[in-house]
Amino acid sequence: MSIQINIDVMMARRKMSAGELAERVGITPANLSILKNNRARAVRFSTLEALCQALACQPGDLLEFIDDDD
Amino acid sequence: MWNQDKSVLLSVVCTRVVMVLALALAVALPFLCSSGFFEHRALISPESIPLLMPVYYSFCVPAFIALIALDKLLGAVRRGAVFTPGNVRFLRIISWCCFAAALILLASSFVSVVFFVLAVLAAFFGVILRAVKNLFAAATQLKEENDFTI
Repeated sequence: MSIQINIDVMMARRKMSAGELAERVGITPANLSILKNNRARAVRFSTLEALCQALACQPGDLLEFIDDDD
Repeated sequence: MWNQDKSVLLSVVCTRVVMVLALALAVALPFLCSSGFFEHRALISPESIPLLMPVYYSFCVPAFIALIALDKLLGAVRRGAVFTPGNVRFLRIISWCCFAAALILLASSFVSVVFFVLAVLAAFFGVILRAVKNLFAAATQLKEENDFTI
């Protein structure tokens, strides 16, 4: 069971670069890379809110639950 | 102005001074033993003085491993890398070196009761360092958790 972060998909849809997104969200490109590569242990609500605002999407568009047992 | 950096630097200097003194004693010990230096100073019988050398040299092995680990630990602290798995490993090494030194001193306590007291102290240090190591391991885990919370 894992939570997948689909920032890449939303970035491609909005035609937004990683640098631009990092700047709009207010996180470092290194931290955005951690998020994109699913290495993050947790996401703050404030970060999620900023991501949703920057990408004009809902949290459900960014987060996906994948059941590995299936 | 006294600050954290200078405090760590002082610890590094102290560690290296202890290393040099321990090495100097290792070199000078045969001469000190043969010259009768310990006869009226050490709390051991004159016939036990030759036993000081094997006790000290075997004690030197864990002591130097611990001092080198301590030097590397302080070097990492100076670089700002405090809560890292590497530092936990250094603390574990130092702790085991204390236990090893305690065993050596305990085995040598037939030479003098002073060694028995030192063995108890070394074991006590080992236990304290083990607790510090466990704290560091928990803090390292917390830091990692914090670093990966975006």
